[in-house]
Amino acid sequence: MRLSATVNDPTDHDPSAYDIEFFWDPVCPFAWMTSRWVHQVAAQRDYSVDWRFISLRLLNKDKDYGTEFPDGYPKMHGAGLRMLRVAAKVRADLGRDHLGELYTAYGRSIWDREPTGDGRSRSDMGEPSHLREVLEAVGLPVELAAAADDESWDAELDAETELALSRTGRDVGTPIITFRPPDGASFFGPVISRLPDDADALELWDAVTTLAAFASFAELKKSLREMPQLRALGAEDPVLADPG
Amino acid sequence: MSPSPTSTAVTFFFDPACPWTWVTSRWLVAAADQRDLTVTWRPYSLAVQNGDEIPEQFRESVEAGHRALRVVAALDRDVDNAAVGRFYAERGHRSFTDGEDLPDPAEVLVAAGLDASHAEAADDEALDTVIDASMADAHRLAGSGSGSPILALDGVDRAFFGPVLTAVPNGDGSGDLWDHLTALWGVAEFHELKRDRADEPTFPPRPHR
Repeated sequence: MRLSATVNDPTDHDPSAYDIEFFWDPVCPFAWMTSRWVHQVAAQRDYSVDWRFISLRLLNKDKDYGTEFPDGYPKMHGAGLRMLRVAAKVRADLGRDHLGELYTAYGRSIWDREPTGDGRSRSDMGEPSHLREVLEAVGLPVELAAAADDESWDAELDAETELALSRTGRDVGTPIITFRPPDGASFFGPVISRLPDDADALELWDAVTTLAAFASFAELKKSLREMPQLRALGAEDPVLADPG
Repeated sequence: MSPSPTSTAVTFFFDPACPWTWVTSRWLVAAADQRDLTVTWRPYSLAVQNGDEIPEQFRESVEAGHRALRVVAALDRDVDNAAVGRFYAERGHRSFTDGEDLPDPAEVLVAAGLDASHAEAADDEALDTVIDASMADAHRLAGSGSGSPILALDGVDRAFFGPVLTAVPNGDGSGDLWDHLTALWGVAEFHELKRDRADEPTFPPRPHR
């Protein structure tokens, strides 16, 4: 694999204290669905998860949003970045173990909602009203919402995004998962459209992590797929967030 | 728990010009040996799928691959599918192991113990309907946006693109990889798992005879 081993972890902590690292951007519906499955697995296996950041906005900072993305993406990715700045502030001030709960609250506030006109997101996504609602839901100080405007968090978010991509190569999407960090197998996905039942969730985990442990494995895909079955995306039988 | 598929009959849709497909095919041959699978080889033409989008430097080899697929169609019709497997193995080793640019179909046939006269099929455009029909089956199973290789399991209505591998696993690894793949086939919710690939795959040596 053509992977860089020289990207430093931007945060000072012991990665091996966790079983799993999960890199997320709150505006990615695929990452959200996969994250609910990781909760399902972690609960059954007693795995600890370090919920880490990958910013789609910073990942695409050199792209021309006007020509390379559909309408609405600049706003959505920008909202994701604002939410991640708040999450970075929470991590710095209060500790990384708050992030699982914060991600769950972000996801519920975005994906467990009636569909809006554009079918994707709430209109105030990443705005103070949304951020304060989420912080309040998890019992954190609503003043932390101000971090959304603070670009000084971007260096750390950018470095964490690069850390994730250094483990999988760049031609992937989100989420990125590392099992047994920092040196265990990393991969993009698994992309899932629905939550399996508890037994299948473990079967999927074992198959995915074993496959990813093959150094020569690069890609496996079913191209016929559906969008994640989330209420905000119009699903009739949506996956609802378990309070993680 | 949804049962993992137990079928051991596999269909492999391949373009003989694709180096990644070649590595996957050699993994499959090793896995078939270790897990007693039967493989049916079917055409998938990147020349048809990608048409004008094929970069200039690959065009000649992709077109040669399409001509080889006409020979594949003729062998399947006039001899049997095992002959297709032998033809593909010989052509792939010439092309990827030995670095022969555009293997001559007649020479490949003879080296694979087949009659050189089947090489005439390379110019038979009527066989393109067979290639088209095979690709239609592949797309029905895997979606029209996929490519080569496509791996289908008899009795399962969703096929995989891949697995893309940078090398054939060592020893018993091929059979092990098959087992984990089968487990993923059993999980309907699963769609994709990926890492960026290296620039070039590592080709396996010719097997000892």
